[in-house]
Amino acid sequence: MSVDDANVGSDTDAAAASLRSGPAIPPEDAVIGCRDVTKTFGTVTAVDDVSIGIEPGEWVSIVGPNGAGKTTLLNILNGFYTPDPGGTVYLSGEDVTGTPEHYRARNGLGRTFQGLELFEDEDVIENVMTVRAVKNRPNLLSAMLFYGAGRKTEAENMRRVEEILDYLELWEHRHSKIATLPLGVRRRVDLARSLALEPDVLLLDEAMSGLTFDEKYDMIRFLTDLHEQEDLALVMIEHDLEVVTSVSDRMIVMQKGGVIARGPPEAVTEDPEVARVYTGVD
Amino acid sequence: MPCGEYFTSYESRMGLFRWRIQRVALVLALPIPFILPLLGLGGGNVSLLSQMFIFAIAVLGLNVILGYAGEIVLAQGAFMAIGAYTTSRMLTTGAGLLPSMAVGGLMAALVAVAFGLPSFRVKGFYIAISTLALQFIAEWFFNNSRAEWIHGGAQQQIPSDIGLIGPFGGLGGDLSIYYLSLVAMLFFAILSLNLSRTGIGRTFRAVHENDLAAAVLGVNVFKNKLLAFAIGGFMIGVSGGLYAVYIGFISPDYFTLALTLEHYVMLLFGGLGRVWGALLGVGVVTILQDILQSILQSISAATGLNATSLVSVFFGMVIIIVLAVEPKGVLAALGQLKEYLRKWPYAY
Repeated sequence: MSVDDANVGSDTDAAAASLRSGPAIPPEDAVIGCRDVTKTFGTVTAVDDVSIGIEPGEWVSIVGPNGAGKTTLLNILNGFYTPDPGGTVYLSGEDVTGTPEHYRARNGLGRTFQGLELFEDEDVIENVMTVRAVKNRPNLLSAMLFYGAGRKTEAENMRRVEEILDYLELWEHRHSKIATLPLGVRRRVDLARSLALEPDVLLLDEAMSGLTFDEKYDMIRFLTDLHEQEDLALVMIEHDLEVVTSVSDRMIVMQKGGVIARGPPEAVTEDPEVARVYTGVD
Repeated sequence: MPCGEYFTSYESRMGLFRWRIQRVALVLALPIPFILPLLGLGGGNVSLLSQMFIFAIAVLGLNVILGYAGEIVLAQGAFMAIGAYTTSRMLTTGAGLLPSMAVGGLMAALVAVAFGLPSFRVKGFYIAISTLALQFIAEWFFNNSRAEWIHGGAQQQIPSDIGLIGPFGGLGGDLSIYYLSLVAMLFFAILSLNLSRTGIGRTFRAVHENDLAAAVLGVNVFKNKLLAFAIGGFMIGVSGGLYAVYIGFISPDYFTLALTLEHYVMLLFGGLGRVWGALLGVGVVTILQDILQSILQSISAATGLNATSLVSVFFGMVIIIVLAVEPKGVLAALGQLKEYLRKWPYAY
């Protein structure tokens, strides 16, 4: 083996080692992060000793085959699941491991759902107004009398919600019932709803699943604008590697509950271990 | 020159009566119940309408808990009984009707919250069972002579010479109860409408529709459920206090499970989660019930059979028919008819 070959080999090893190192920043300093998180359901370990840290304004994609633990990790981050003892979740530096999901949502953590989970009996504007009411809620008395501060709060909420609907090009659908809308529009409503909380970080669980090419293009456009203009941190679970590599600052690859690689998209996609997970070929 | 109506502010767009035709209808309709007794409405009809207004408050309370927040409560009778007995006890202190009803409402709200606590862990059927237990506990409690020092006796006569506040604003006769019930119903109807169009009502509905999504989106599900129990319990308790004064006598027999069933029929008939539906349901079912009672009494008198007990069968049939034909109630059916006529002769 020549000296050059040896240098190439050591460079490759170093690159591979960097992909398998710890979080980019300590979870304690991240806008959202977790340390040593494990989640077991009976005998199944869905998430296995995972630590991640997302920087403010960063766009990170979590990829991996079905059953890799991506959604479970998101559910742990937003408080839907409590990690097994020993794991810790941080939101903007605060240990939020034991806090309920509504506390995290009110403190800057937004979330969209793979299965949408919209309020089906309401129209678009009511769906978004409902979540806006969490961010800016009148007190009981002024709400029931619809007077003074209560009235002003509702008017201000309506104004803000209309801005969000306009931004996401949902204006023409604002009075449509959810059940009458196509999937692409419903995914945008889901996004609008989470934006009504004015989050610092947004967890997107397969936000482009089932969309047509045009709908996916629109969704990427909206997310890119939010990321660049509003400096919103995005954590996205996505199967479309073309999308992931085009938009993400970093990628995290999961397999069997653990993180097998993390880093810039171009480095991660060239990693032989990642290729093996996706293609099944050594 | 513009044509049509335009909203120039968010406040005007969120108004309860935002269209001109609605405001005209309100101006024309609102005075009717106020002037009806002056136009020679008989004593029996005044009494029937008073009961309608009082039950409307209780059904609006049920609508907050069941229609908005989606919690099934089977203790309507118990909440009304707590309101009625508390009001009765307060009246003996000379506090006057309004403070007594307010305390009755607060007591019912407190008990409603206490029996809503299991909603932290359970929902649906289990909450229904929890509140059903309250109904049986209340019936046992108010019939129990050893608890007389608390409730003041199972059968109680309500004092006739009472004021609205302390000795002031004396209430005399059926007509004053009629107007008081009418004003109270309008007050709670407006509160319910406001609740529905503000953030608090919206979060109630979110909890009703999808509590998991609501929680992830920042709604404190448990707190909202308890708040719904408190608001609804208060309204039902106030209704119980008014009912006590309306009848002039209270007994646990007036606040049984049958009363709960009656109010469920009214709410389901009009439309769950809709204030106008609740009011419509109370009106129609009360009038139908009154007509049916007259017919059954005639049959009883003619045949010697106890036909009046068939009223419960009537309520059961109304629930089955409404759920089978239009589960969202008559108001929703009327809305669909209006849409159909608006689009006619086209399908959409």
